Amino acid sequence: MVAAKELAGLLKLSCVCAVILVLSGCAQTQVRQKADHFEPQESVSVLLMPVDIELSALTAGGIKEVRADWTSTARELVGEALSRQLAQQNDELLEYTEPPDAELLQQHIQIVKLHGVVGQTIMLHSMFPGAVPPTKKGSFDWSLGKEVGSLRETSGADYGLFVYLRDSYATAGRKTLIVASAVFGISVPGGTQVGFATLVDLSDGSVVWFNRIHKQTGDLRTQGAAYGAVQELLEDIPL
Amino acid sequence: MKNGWLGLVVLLLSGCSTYTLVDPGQVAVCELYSVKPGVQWSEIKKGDIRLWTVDGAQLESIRFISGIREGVPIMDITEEKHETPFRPDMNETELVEAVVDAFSLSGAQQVEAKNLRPAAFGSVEGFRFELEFLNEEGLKKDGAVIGTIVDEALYLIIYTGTRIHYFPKYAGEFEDIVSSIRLRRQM
Amino acid sequence: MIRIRLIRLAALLFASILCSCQSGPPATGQAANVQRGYQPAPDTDEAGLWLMMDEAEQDLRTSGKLITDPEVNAYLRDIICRLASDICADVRVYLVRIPYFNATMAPNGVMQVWSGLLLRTENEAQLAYILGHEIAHYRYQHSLQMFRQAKLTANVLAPFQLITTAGGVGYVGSLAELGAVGTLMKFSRDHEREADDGGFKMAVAAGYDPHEAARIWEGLQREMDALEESGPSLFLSTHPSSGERVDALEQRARAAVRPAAGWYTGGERYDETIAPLRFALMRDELRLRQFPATQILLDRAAEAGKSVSEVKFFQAELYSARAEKDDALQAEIAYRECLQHADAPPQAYRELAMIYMKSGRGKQALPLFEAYLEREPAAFDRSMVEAYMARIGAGENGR
Repeated sequence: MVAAKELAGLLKLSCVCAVILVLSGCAQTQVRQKADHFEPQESVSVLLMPVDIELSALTAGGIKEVRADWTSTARELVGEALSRQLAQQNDELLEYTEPPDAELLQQHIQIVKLHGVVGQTIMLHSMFPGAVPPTKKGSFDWSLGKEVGSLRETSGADYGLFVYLRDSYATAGRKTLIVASAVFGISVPGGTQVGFATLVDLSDGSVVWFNRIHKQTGDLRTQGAAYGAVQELLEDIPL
Repeated sequence: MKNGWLGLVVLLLSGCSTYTLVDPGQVAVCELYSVKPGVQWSEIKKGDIRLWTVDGAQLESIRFISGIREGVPIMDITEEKHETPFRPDMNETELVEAVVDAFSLSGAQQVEAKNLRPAAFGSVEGFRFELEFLNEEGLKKDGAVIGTIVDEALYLIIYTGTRIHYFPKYAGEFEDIVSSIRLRRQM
Repeated sequence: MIRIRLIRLAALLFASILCSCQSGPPATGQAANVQRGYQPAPDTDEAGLWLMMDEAEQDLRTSGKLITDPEVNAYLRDIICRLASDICADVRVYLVRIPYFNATMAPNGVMQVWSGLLLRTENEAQLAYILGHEIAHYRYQHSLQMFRQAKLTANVLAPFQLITTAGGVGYVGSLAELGAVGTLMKFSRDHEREADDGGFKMAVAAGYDPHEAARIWEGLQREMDALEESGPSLFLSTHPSSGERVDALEQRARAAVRPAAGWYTGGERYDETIAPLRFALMRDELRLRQFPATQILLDRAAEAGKSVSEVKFFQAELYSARAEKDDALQAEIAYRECLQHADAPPQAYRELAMIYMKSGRGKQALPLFEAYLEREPAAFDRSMVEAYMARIGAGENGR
């Protein structure tokens, strides 16, 4: 039995998913969703937002320690992969640049943080039918707020592409624990990957397309895995 | 979001759907009072706590905390028993502090209470205040709280949501709900 | 129990900060070897490391954890420049809202000071000795030396790991359990001695009273003793004995050459600058509900001659928060004693008024409420207090 304390420490969504794998056969439903009114576009301009990424080490005690070095490596690889793969689309790709105004920059950072929470909610709903509030069934209605207007103003882009990635890797100590626990028939989460991408209409903040990673793509600190993850994230992107 | 909430999350995710639908119209919250939501809400119940949300609890939620008695932690929000236990002789300022503490202990950052003032809780006296805080990752959130103590028990209604988009989305509805509070027994 | 580990953590940190258990010749190789405006050569491992640290710094800035009060931040920068005017422009100091004693220094010049530390340093000199030690680590590039020697990369980024880890899980309870304690910068013994030496020298050269260095350690030790220990310590062998540590520090203090103008302690300037934060910091402290340790903080403040009204006020707050046995009575007494001083915090008036109101002494509460509102124009509970006054005026004495 996973101790209550460990459960509490695993409350970040990535780990909760792992817990659920333990608890029940996890029926994976929709991977990709888009808003009803949204039609694939011919040629639009897309603002590529800074990737919201964090890589952690999962210690034997079940604590996640964010690793700045791992994160930096993965951020670079993923950013590279995104630019390359999006350049192949027939669209104008714009890179995000920080505005000189400090308050505006803060607001942009808040929008990216909100994306993390909205995306996690969409992901949760798409993975676990029991987690979908009845008020949300059958509709795809999400927003990052009209505040995205400032992104449109400064960049001139029609859509924003937001990417969120979290991954954790078990340390040696934790791997030992996993093996030891397996011997006793106890499941201990080893580390999980969460990743999703959204397209946001910058005229009103509405989320028009959402896609999540559903295969374990491996170590994001390596080029192969990073490129693979991005490929999966951008699959069937309606641009 | 710890302890009691974790239990809820786990329940949800295991596929045993515990959400029920709350339709607009007068609905009993607890033995003390009822409210009249103007829109549909999705509800989860656990013990003395009912949680309403439309989009998902991390985006916005209304929490109804009912009948907390002496010695019980006010929001039972952490597993470390650092929370202030409720005492019926607590005044409003102490209650605000206890709520701020509970939020802080659960991981909210830079929690600030504003504009504490008397307010009608249905036909009895209560109090209201606002909250501003950041979640663990630094995302700004807002809160609005109304509460009262009746027969030595504490009742709170706490509305929270992300500052961008989701709190404003149902702020008006929350005000309507507050205005619609009706006691279910003679005082 | 968690708190105990934290105090031990603080104690060990501090011990490592001011480790000077052997008196002897000062460590060699202390020539300042970081240049102003140092940047690593591009495409080197070091450059990659710098990039990671810069990104981590950016995350820290947007984490929501910082206390951004401009005066306090300027004050910290000022002390750093007094200690190391040649390189202080490269040091970026961040005040982090975590109620534990800690300060860290990253190789790229990012310094973190945790808010709990500001409750445990009594004056500018004590703060300077801690900051000096951290600056010395930076000046002598200890982390980079370890990195270049292919020691663990993780250690170099440890300060950032600690902060982000602490933030991610929620600091209460989890912090002490974090492996982060183990990943804290483990400098070599030589490095520690060097930083100790160098930091001490910087502080002395800036005129800070060296006798203050031992006092922080004494205070931390007292906090540790006040908490009943149970459970294994997270630390291994090298937990220094307090007597030795303090004696060694006193010895160095005596050996230091006193400037003509005398030593500078900076108690007043410290109190004045930190004052606007003190309420929030004490609230954070009381929230931990580790009252024996908090009591030590109050005792130390009283012994250090801090504002009597403020010490009384927070003593009363402790009684109110603890709410055991006769704490309510003790709180009332303490608020009353506080209010005998002209500089009593406005909240003291309100708190005493509330006590009177609760116990049927509404008439006595009225003038106190008035005094509170007068002294606290931006009171967040103004409407509530006015309602109390109206209730009392109408003959109901309130709850």
